[in-house]
Amino acid sequence: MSAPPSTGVRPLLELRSVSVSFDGFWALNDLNLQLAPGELRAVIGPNGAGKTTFLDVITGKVKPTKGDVFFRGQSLVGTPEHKIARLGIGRKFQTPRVYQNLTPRRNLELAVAKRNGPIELLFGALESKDRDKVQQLLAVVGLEAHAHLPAGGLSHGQKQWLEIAMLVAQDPDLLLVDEPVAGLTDEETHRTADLLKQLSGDHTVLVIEHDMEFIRDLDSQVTVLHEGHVLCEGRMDQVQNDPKVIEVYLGNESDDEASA
Amino acid sequence: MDLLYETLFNGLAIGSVLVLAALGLAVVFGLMGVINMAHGELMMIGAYTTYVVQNIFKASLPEGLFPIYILVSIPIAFLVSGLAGLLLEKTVIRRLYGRPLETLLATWGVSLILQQFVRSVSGAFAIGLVLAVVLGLVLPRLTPRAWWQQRWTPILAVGNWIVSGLVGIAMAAVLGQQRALDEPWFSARNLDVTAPTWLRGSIDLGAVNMPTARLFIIALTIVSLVAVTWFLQKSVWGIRIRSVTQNRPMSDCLGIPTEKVDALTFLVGSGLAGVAGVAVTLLGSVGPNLGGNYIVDCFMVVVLGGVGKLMGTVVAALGIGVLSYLIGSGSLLLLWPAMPSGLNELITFFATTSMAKVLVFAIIVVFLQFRPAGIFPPKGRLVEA
Amino acid sequence: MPWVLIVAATLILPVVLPPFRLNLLGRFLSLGIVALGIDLIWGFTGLLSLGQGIFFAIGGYAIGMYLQLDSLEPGQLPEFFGLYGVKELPSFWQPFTSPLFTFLAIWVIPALVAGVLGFLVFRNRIKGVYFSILTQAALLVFFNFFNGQQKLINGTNGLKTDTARIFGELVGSDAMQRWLFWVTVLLVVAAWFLCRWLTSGRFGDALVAIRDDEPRLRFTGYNPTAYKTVVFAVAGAMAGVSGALYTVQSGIVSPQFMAVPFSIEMVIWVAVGGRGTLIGAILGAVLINYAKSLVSEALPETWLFIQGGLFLLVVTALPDGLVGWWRQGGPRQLQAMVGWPPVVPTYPALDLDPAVQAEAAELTPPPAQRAES
Repeated sequence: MSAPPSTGVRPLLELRSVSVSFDGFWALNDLNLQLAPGELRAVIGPNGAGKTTFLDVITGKVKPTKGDVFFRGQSLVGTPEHKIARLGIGRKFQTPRVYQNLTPRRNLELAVAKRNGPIELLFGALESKDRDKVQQLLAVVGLEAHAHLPAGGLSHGQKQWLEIAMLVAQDPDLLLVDEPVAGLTDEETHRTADLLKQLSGDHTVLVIEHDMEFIRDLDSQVTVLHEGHVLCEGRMDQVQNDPKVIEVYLGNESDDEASA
Repeated sequence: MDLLYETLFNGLAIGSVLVLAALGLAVVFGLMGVINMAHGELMMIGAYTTYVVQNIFKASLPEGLFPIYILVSIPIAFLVSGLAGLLLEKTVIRRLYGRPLETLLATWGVSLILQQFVRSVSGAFAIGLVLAVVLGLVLPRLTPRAWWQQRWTPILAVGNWIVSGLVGIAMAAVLGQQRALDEPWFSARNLDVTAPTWLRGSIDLGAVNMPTARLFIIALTIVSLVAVTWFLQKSVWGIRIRSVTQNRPMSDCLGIPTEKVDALTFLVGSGLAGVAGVAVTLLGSVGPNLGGNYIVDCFMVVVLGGVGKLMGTVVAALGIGVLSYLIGSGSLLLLWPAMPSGLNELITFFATTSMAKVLVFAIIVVFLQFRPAGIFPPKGRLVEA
Repeated sequence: MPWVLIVAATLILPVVLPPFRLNLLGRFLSLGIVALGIDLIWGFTGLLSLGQGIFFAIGGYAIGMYLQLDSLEPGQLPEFFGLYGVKELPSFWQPFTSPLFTFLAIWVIPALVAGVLGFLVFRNRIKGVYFSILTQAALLVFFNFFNGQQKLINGTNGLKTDTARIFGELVGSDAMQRWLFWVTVLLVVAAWFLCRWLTSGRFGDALVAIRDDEPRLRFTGYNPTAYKTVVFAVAGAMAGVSGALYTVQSGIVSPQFMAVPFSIEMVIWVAVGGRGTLIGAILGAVLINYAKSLVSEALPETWLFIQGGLFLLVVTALPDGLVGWWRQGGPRQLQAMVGWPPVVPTYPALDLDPAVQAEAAELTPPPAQRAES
């Protein structure tokens, strides 16, 4: 399903030695990463490895202190968030963020609209193909029965799914998915993995997760982040056996002994 | 050159009042995220406290002690305003943490009540008020406990306060028949605080004439700043306050009494308003509207300075002070006589105190275009949570 | 049905009420329009502006200037200019001789001012309390400006309009005031429809989304700055219309329209009525102002206590205002407290709804199916 990055294709997304400093603390440190079009990529790393900052840099929320981010060969640095989103980069947040006081249907309708200036929203009606898409997505995520109630009343899992549905409705070329299965049941986790695998190919998907079972399910290229830079890349089983990764996740034994 | 020094001195003097007034606000807003619109009224309470202390010194203490009344009133004003702020925190603000816009409206309501309170408080009024509060608190204890566990208990609770309030009002009305008790304590008039003689002179340094009252305020500002900085950086409670600001749940887990910390922070912030109130009495008369004259300026200082750094407050306040004086007094024209005529006309147009505000605001808005988060913006991931 | 009542009331009230009361009602209704604007930006979009008085007063000054000029003989100047030795009409007064320009100025100028101010603030992502504080500071600035400029717009004294004439009729006359009352009612209804149109569709959804989670909307490809600027300008225009109507019905426009407390008062009308509900804004404006006029006639010194109490009450006990309380079954709860348990409605239709059944089946899958997965 997910093609391994072939070196010949121009990367869809490229981070070139990106560093971010918060008051002297380097959240990202000389980070280099390339994503090929249609790729599905998982990013893992211990807490504080800079995973969320990494997404913040791509989506324009945080400006890199050094380095550059390219999307289809075009630099994203200094572009406001909404313009980056319009270029075709969508993001799902770590904690589900849906519009609490709108119904799931209206949440999706906002996400699906491509022409989304104030004038268009006031005077233009939603296209019927978009309306169909919303209906279809509601069915996919099983929220049809809740379609007319405020989304604030949904359960955590339902909100997660609604936000994933919003991301799909937005139809970006690059999907950045931050912890999509936190708080979901095993069953839902499997379904999420299937959904993401389906999406890759047509879309490029980058997933950040802690759940290793889920990453294994995705069966994709894995990038390990540590202290703001890439520790290693490879298939899941390669990565799992990499001594550096084991050291980062489990701690260095000799260090522990020395300190004990 | 002397003109430049004089301008600078006057600007600093105006600025230091702003620093003092905004300091408490910056503490409360920066550390707790609470917008306290009643801050100006807490200053007013401090000013009225000074007035009362002055009268006590005049009436019942030896005349020789009168010159120091202003020094005595500083800690007293700190306490009175601080306690008023504490009461405010315990009754209102505590319920509204995390809802800044609601806090803003609620504290505005409190400021209206406080203003009218100093206008109409009289002996009868005070007795009625105390009676109402005591009744409201005591009545529930005198009634059968079972009444307080019913479906209709909320109605009873509201009714209890209504009845207590009515009794209080009736009491006040009856006592108001007596002339002595009906006399308002302060009334709506402006009152004057006489500065002691040592604050009425001035010192000449070179050609610059420095009124001692201004110097006193500058000194008071510096002392307050040092004290607050020491308190926040070095004292145990200061460290606790900062830790709660940075991570409330974690502080809670570490056994820091966060509720006490909130109360203390608010007390300190309100107390500083009281101290500012003392300083303000040296500049003009004391009236119920005193707070309203400062509150908007204070907030501008906090917005311009950036949240969370006292240094920002100081720089912003002094900047606004110097700029206001420069524009408002027209001394820019004197400093730079060869100004092009178009600019000259413009500056003359803005050369009154109130018009200076117009220009200063415009400058602030332009400044915020470049530094939206103020002079010293906070950084990091927490900023836009 | 409500519309029939409104029409009936509009026709009957001018006959029943004495002119003084009718005039008061007309004034309060015109304040309902500025309240609707505040509801739009605060109740729906989450922007608490404490500076609506700016736009309110600009609308008032626009009509005030027109009326000053309209009742003059050619070549004359409004009287107050003589006091300050102004011989020539200031240039910005000139266009206000035209009724058409004035008609536009009443709402276009406030909208432009609001749009520019809003854009400068929103562009920098200044929001929440910072926005409130800045609007309040802007208000104070405009107040100072209008207050200090005797030679331009008569400073503190303001402009009187009740002795001016429209269509040869004295603005302060009873007949004119009756017409103005009808115009006010008409415009309140129009403003209500405008707000309803703005808030019910996808545009309204975007506003609510800004209130709920603005960064999220931005990452979806929306530019919240554009929305906020538009909606703030609309609220500004509504404040301008409201100010103009208020001015002609109260007979004067003065810098007091821009006093800091007045603009916060506007917010409390909306809060008491129920923010996020359009009818609540109008209701709140009329009710509170009516209460204010009653209290101020009887016990003027208690009004500030009552008003302060209202601020506290609505924030702590009634966050959704009267209309919100009503819609959330407040009266039924109250009734339940005193002893009549409310009738619990049942939904027989629910058991027949295929969507609900499908969901129920999904929630409790049969054992076989579970084992399979």
